[in-house]
Amino acid sequence: MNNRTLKTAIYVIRLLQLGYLLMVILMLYLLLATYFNWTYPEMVFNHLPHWFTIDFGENEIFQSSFNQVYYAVQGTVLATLILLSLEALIQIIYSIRSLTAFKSDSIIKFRRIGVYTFLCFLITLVKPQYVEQVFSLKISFEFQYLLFACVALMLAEVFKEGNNLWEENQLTI
Amino acid sequence: MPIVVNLDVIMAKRKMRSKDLAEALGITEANLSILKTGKAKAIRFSTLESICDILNCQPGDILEYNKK
Repeated sequence: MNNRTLKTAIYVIRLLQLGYLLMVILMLYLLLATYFNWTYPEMVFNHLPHWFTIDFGENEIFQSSFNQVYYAVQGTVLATLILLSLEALIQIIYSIRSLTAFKSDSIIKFRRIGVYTFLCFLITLVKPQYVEQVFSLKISFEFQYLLFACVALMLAEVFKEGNNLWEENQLTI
Repeated sequence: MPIVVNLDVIMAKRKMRSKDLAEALGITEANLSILKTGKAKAIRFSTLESICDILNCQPGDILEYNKK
């Protein structure tokens, strides 16, 4: 199947993967910076529009070294899980293009996406902060991850039903 | 499944080889093997009609219900 929508989806997902890969690199840099006392690059450019600038100075990540390490690790794990989910999504799109979407591989990939996004929900559930000798713990529900996990797991069931129908069709002589 | 396919029995009676029957039916030998071994989940009326026509038999000669 040579569908333009699928092609566009693949390009968009590849771009997203690139973005998340850069995020992993940035988070690893932040993590290692605490151990090696690296200086942070100047990322604020006055001539660029506001939405384009990254200001490290006022971020809660840099309020203590505990915060920095915790959020760097959390960010790395989160971005890696999203990267893996996107890769599974691309594999599903490829299977749709090759007209093999209802084979059992797609079910496994949808389940994997569901598990990864549910892990993202769990990882972002707790937000500890250590600022000025005070340790605080915030609970934040990132429902978009939970919703996406539910949708992915539901799609896995739909594809399982599709797989049964496909097999039945294959075994009809 | 309680439905038993007796295609191999009829084929043996008519002395017809799998290859020839598959060719006459227009299906692959692999699909005919699925049908003969009872792994098939369904059979099209058109296929059944062709089998009956080629082997000169009735659908009841090929398919049997065995409750056990």
